[in-house]
Amino acid sequence: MNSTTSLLLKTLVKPFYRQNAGQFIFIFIIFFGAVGEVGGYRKYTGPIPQLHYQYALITGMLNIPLLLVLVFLVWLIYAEKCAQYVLAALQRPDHSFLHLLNDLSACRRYRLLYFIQCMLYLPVIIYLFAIAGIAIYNHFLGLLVLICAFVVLVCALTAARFFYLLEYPGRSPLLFWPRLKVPFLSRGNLYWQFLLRYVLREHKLMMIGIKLFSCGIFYETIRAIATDNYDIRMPVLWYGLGILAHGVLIYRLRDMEQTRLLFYRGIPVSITQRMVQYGLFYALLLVPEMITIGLLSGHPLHYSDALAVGLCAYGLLLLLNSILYIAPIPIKDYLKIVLGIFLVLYFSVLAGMLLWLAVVLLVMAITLFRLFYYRYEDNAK
Amino acid sequence: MLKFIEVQKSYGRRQVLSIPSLQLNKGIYWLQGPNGSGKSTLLRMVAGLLPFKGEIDLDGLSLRRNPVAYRRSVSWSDAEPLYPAYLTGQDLISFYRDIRKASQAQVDELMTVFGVRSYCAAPIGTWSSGMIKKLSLLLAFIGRPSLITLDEPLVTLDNDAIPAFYTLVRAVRQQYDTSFLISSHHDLETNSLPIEKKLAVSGQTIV
Repeated sequence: MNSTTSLLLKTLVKPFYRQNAGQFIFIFIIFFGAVGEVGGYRKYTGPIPQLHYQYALITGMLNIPLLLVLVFLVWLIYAEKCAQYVLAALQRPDHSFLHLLNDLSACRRYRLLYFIQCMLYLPVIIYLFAIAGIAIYNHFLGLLVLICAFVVLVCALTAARFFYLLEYPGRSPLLFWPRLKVPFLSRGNLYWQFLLRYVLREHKLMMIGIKLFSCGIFYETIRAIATDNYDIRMPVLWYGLGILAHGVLIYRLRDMEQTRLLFYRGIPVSITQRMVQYGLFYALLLVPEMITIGLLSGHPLHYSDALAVGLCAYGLLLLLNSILYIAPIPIKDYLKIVLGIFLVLYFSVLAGMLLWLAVVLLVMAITLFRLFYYRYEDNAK
Repeated sequence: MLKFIEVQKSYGRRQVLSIPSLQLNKGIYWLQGPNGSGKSTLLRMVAGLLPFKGEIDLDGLSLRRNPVAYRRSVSWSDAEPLYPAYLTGQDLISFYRDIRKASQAQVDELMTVFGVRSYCAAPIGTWSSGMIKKLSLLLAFIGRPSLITLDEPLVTLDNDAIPAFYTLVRAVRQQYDTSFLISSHHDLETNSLPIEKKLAVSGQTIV
């Protein structure tokens, strides 16, 4: 490996993975720690349940066009996340030396950037090998070509965007993402609006990914329930994973609050009013999930279950927020707690006690918030 | 009157401050001490931003027992203020104005004093550190707090802003009997500010 490639890996690829390590661990746990079936498609009959699950997931993807489109969307969002990272890095003053790359020939420069994008896209590319194996085994060759072409094209276009920004520093016409301008959110001076604006501006990709996952998978799995065998346990567990995936978002939010909205603690606002601000924020954050539940309510999802699932989701988010007031928690430990909550959810779903769990979650969230809000300090050594 | 009763502050096992008893009458106090002596910690404790053991009272209001009323009487400006890059100065000014129930006339006057009007509508992410510092000071003056705590208020301020700041402190002190607790490594112009007393944070306490 030459020195230019090595330098690019050090400055662009390594920091990207370091910065997103928490999210990768969480996604890995979700996709390789959880076990299940997708639509009852061909089952892997080997001894390792995780492989069974991945096999079912990939065959499901190859058989259900909607699922494949969902996967493509998630991959696109991930590509955009990589692109945003590199494009931002290329414009940072401490990375200005990278513009020396313009001294290389256009062909070599593009090849280098394509390689960098492939390195950032490695999780998708590695998964592509698993898809290829199963697609070949099941004779889905046409689909395999389509999936490979999609990945190659996404990497090629993303590398082209890097190339353009290097060529024309300061311009950013290919950032693609329009600002999410929601009139009542782009201004406003209420605390919950500050929080929502942060999520919409700084973590929109993560948010869209989480929403696609939680709403998409819940909608599809609930609709697949047979009317004569009403069992919502698996869909609710999937949905719970989607809700718990908000944990990373909530962690980032608390981190931001502690550094940039520290003044809020000194503002004359009662603890109840503070809770109301968070309550409103998390209610708005859950709007897509609530719409999904609304669409499914009545048929096939029973109204009582819809209520329990909705309340549970809200209680989970509030609890994930309140936990972060107990003490400063490293992201790894926080994710362990999230996993622990998932286990509690798992047993509650199996026991059919979702509504009770929702009540417990809400009570715990409020109690922890009231107990620890003023006691929290970030710089405890 | 600001009262400290058996106040102790530790970070883990390391004790940073121990103030058995201290009473500060109304006035302007200049808090001095070397780096790491606990000045910023003390100001944050007084502003209700950090937990501690003991009691801090302001004009009979206990921070522990009357958290909202106490916070209404105290405001704070950080040494190196940070705000979300996506917010505008106007967002934060409106936020403070509404919560502290301040008049628009007061806000307008403060914006003129600190000269922030021209860039106030731009996202804070595009501001320099001096501009952010001015915003932080402006926010601390919004409303009618009885005590304003200012951590290194002169850092990054330009030459025009410093006399304006002194004039404002003097005026607020005289008109509204507001007290100030100011930490500063810079020499405060004692001719411009009627300093009540210099306080030194030393050996984990205030002398």
